[in-house]
Amino acid sequence: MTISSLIVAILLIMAVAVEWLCLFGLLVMRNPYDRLHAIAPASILPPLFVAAAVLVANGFSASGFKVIAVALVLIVSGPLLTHAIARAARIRETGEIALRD
Amino acid sequence: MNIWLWSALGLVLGFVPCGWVITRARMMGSLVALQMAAGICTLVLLLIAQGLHRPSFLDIPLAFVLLTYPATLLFAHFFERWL
Repeated sequence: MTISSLIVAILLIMAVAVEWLCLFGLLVMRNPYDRLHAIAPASILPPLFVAAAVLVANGFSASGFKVIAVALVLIVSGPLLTHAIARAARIRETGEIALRD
Repeated sequence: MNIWLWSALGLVLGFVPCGWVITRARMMGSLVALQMAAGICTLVLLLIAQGLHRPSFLDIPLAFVLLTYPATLLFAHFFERWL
């Protein structure tokens, strides 16, 4: 086993481990806000790890740039979607977004 | 099977808890689990493309992740008041 394949294996194991930790949080938490907190790392860390693994394996090739694009879209859209869902949950629950006194 | 496909398999199993939450939780909890499942699906498609040594398959996760964003926003918008 070469050094690069060892690094790829470690990165992929870390990606799967973070996803499963987030899934555990998703199962354990009871309300949508806590669940959003639990799954937040899943849209940041695993795409980073997978993109890094592909770059280590392939280098900066055309496929490497496509994987970077996918990871970037996931990383940018994750927090935006989290915010949109939390906002929708709040409005669905209370009928308004503003805090009451 | 290589390390990429084993990782994809490890992530595919994550659809089980997502499906459990989608079917058991209330509306907004289901939407959270759906977002999680979409992220997992994107990574699984990436890993399959890499594991099968088919760079052209990488267009599928790219299209999927670009479609997931407005789809989840639409779900959130309609769950906000109308559904």
